[in-house]
Amino acid sequence: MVSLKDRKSLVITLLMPAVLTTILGFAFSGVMGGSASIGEAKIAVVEMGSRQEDMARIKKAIEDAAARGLIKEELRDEILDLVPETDFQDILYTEVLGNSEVKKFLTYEIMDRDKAIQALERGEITAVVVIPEKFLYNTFLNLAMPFKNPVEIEVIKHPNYTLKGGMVEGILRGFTDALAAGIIAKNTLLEAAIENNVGEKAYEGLESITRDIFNVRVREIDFRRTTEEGRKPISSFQYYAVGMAVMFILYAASDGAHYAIDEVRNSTYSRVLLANAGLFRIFASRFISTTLFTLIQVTILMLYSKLAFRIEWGPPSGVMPLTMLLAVAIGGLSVLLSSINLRLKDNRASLVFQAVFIQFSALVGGSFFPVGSVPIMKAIGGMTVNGAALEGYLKLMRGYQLSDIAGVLSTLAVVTAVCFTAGTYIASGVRE
Amino acid sequence: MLIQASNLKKYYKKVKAVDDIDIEVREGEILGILGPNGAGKSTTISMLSSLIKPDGGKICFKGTDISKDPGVIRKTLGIVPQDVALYPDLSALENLKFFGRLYRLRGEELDGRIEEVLDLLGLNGRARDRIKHYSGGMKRRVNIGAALLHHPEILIMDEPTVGIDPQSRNHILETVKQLNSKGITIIYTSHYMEEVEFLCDRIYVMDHGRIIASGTKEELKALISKDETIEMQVDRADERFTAKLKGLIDVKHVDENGDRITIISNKNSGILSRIFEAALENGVNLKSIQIKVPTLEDVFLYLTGRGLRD
Ligand SMILES: Nc1ncnc2c1ncn2[C@@H]1O[C@H](COP(=O)(O)OP(=O)(O)OP(=O)(O)O)[C@@H](O)[C@H]1O
Ligand SMILES: [Mg+2]
Repeated sequence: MVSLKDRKSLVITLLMPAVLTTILGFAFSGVMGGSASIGEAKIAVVEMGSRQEDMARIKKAIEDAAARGLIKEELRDEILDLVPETDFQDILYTEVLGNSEVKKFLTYEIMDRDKAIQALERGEITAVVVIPEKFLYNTFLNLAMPFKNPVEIEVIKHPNYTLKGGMVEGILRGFTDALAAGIIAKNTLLEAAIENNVGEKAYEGLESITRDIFNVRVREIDFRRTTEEGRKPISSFQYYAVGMAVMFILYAASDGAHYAIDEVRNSTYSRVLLANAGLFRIFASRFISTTLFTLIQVTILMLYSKLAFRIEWGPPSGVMPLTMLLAVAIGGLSVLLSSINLRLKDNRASLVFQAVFIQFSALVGGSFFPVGSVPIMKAIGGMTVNGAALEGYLKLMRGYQLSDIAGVLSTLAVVTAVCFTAGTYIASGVRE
Repeated sequence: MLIQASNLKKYYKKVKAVDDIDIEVREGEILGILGPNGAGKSTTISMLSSLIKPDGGKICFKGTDISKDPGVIRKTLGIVPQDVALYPDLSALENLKFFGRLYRLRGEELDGRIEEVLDLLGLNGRARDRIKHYSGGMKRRVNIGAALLHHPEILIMDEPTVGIDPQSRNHILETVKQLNSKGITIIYTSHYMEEVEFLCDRIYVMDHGRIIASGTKEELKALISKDETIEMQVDRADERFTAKLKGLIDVKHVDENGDRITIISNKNSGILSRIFEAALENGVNLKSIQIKVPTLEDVFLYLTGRGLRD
């Protein structure tokens, strides 16, 4: 009847989520790009300019230079032959994005800008990479000539996919860093040019090329245009603080059901029955104690994450109702498990729940990693108590309001209702 | 008649835990249910207290069938389960408070009852310690206390003295007498015949789910009044000697336990001289010999051919 009596399990259920949040938060904040468990990302590449036009411009520039005597006449044709090899964009596609390691978790498609943004807003893709106009031409000039034309690749991320967005950003940064450092260039145009004693000035220019010239500009997509107000991105700490909290409160439900069997085993259940307390009172107190326990647990985790990681959980007007309903749903789950336990006269139900169900629903509910890109997991996870709650909390963190999480709230209400109905039905068969 | 149970049955898959028994409980008495492990004592009282449903038979409390309205008996019943039925992580005080509240006791009344119970059981000093840090004897006392808070008319005690020191045991036995003198009807199960003999007005002797004898101590002992029990100690166990004893006229039963031999024989049959003769014949020295007043243990032995405790 009294859930708080076991002080050891109290420490575990309160401390474990905090510990795991810390570990997972750090693990994923550092190496977001590297982890395979993040899942596959789809990106769109938008080409603002035309590669053919850029190539033509480059050829024209070389011919102009030759005409003005900057390049010796006999070398001109040789250099022109090399130009196709300076297609850095092609290198981006085949060598970087086409790299067999990269391909394991990232696929790309070339789209036009409007389509790409729409796809991003619909969540079909993770990020949009915008290759600017005159990219090839400017890159060529920057490497070969003393002129400095800033080249900026834009990465637009979806706030739902901060982890994967960061990964895309990392890859492109690697690419532009390589461009800036002349690594790619050296291997292509310039080596040939310098060997042939072409354009000493170009060589001098290379040294002065800084990373400022090739840059990846990152921004998050702004939904203001299309839907609601500005959304904030979710950090890995925020994500795992919520993920772990909603996973560990499931243990409160099964612990509650364990106590039900403990009471049968230590005969206190008989005492309670003989006091004419009746099953209703037994289940009511199970429900109330588990609900209260869950409320306390979530509150402590919120405070902890706020102090330790400065995590904001969103507007109280949304967080409080969500937390209340979540606690009620956990109380309902505990009633259901208790009634199964009492019916079976052992704690098989809550043990299975603990060993299998919690792990499963934590996985599909997104407690371990975001499941947005795996439709089946997202669908099943959305129906679990923890999955729904996770979605609700993340939305509130991003700046949504109570009205935006109505779906989540109704899922929790339905789960609670189902638990009570099933629990009552099963309990009606509990005798002796 | 307070409780009248007839043709009670409870069968588990292979075991006939309780096999067609009749029991009646009279107002104000201490009723004993005596039997070895697995006799069906706990099952019987669980049925009497409405905790489990019988597979057959009927139990009436003051004329009302309790299967129809278990509430009537539950209100007036205090039960001391065989296993200590307390929350080990709570203190004695917290346990008593909790169970008291279940009986809708509140405030000063509850505090008063708890005080009274702690006094009665001599637990005042350590009421705030957690149960799991208590000795076996103290746990048992709190276990009894929890059944007394609501001033029950009937107290059912299932082997309340198992596994405790003699001092706690005596305290508990005295408490039972005291409670009974205040008018509480008590049903007391045990496999210690001394306890039942000390406490109980009437006794049911159970074995293998059946009642094999019932009545007052005197009535039960009268069952073997045609017999007498002779106990002796010999210097060495000797098979031929025991065989000879078993063959003697008037001997009904011989029980051998190392150098101790118990004989049940017809009363006043002049058996002693024949025992001495048999000893002499087989070269066995008798270290002691006595004719005993029969105990309930002897009754059980007589009825079943086995001791109460193996
Ligand atoms: N729930 C149960 N399921 C199966 N068998 C049971 C159950 N409860 C009791 N039994 C069996 O019924 C028989 C009587 O058990 P019971 O507990 O009533 O005996 P008891 O006289 O109280 O013994 P003890 O002195 O050991 O407490 C035993 O053989 C026991 O194994
Ligand atoms: Mg028993």
